[in-house]
Amino acid sequence: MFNLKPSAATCLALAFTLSPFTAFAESGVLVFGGTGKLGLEIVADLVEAGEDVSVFVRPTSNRDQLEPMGVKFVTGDVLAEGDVEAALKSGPYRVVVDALARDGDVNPGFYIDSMEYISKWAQQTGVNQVILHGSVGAGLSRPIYPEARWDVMGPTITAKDHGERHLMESGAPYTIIRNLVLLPAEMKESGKAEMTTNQLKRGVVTRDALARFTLECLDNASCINEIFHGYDDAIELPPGRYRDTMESFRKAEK
Amino acid sequence: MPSLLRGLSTAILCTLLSSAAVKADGGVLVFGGTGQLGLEIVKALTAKGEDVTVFARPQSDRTSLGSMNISFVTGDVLNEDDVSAAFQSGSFRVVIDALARDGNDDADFYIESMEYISRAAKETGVSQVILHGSVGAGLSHLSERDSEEDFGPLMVAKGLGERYLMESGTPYTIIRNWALLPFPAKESGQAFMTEDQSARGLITRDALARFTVECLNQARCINKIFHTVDDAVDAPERYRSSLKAQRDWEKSQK
Repeated sequence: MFNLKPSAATCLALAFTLSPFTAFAESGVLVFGGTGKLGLEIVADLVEAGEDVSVFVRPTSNRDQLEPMGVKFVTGDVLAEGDVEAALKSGPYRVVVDALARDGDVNPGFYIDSMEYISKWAQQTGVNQVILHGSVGAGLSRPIYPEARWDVMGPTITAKDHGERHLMESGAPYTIIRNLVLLPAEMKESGKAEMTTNQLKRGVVTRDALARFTLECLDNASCINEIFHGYDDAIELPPGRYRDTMESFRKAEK
Repeated sequence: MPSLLRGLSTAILCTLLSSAAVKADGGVLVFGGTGQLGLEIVKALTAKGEDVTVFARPQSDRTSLGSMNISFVTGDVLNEDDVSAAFQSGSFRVVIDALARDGNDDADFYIESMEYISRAAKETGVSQVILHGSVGAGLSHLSERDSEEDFGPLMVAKGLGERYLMESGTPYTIIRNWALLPFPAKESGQAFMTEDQSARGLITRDALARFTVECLNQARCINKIFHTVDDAVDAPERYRSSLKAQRDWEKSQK
């Protein structure tokens, strides 16, 4: 490309030179946010798929649910760049999954700084794929974010947008899976939950569906440098605010 | 990924790159070529012997470009069919976007124009899109003193325009300016580009044109975002004082 015109011979040479690096392909997955509700689903699915899983946890995190799964732990604070650097260097890891979330009224800068450090060190340590669980409202999905929620959520969504930016600009191959309305942890997907690259798609989705998408995107070239919205239009919801929300999305789409 | 597969995919990628290199003989398509920045860029391109095509509205004043040996393609950048037809009208290896609209009341212009240009560039296999953007978009928003009061919606729109380009998959170069000095200011000779998105500075159009030509087909500029600074330039006092205010504000944030 550009001034470089590779010949068939140099290409073959390059192909063979890269082959020894396939040791990385056998390497594991590092999960951030693995003690959270979404992270737990993802870790469980990864372990079930036979992956070598390491979970980045704070020294104070509760590991009760992760310990029986036989995963490894890397300890640190995601807001301390040195800790993130050390975690990525403790690999090699071929895939990094970010399922971080902070409850309540935390400093939105959390989503910017954590993604800045993870992206930078994933890129520098040669990670093949960073899978980020993000939020609808970031980037080009801004127009479909409910205006009524923007007053409260605007700073968080803007921070998540900047987090995505750090990942996209880092040069690390990325997959962003956004959700708009995450259903309660006990709800299970309809079996027909889907991902779309249409960034104007609204929907509700369950954590088990997001975990399934994560596994399906692992090492999958069709997910590289793509942004998806997860949704489950076929899920049956009991009467209440989630069903009302789903109805309002249907109306908005019409 | 198994080693054979990785080697094979590298070989396939190389083959694709080799054939893409055929396009290195194509010309340069310029959007915004009739504006003050565009004019400087077209001059610099023709001085280098590039085959230049300028996309212009039928009613655009072409007199300043009249004496130069360039081609024109006519259309409205907010009409996707026109943009698509322009890309089909020739073989372009690089596309430059130097579009600007006077006043700050038409923010969506920057979103839609970039959406259409990015998509057409991707579809026709352009090897580089160079976008002249604004400091205040994307991650540079985080270190911008004035953004909310004066330029909020405009910078959000320009950020979304950048997003379209970055997500399109077309190799991109974004060159942002913070304060563009009035024509006919000339650069000091010490103007530079930096990947530090917190950098702010004054800049002239001739320096931006020089950077554009220097980035043409350069791997070091691919998928990068630059800020432009010329600290040694002669500038009116009001520009100096706003730069000082910005830099004082940055210090106070640390």
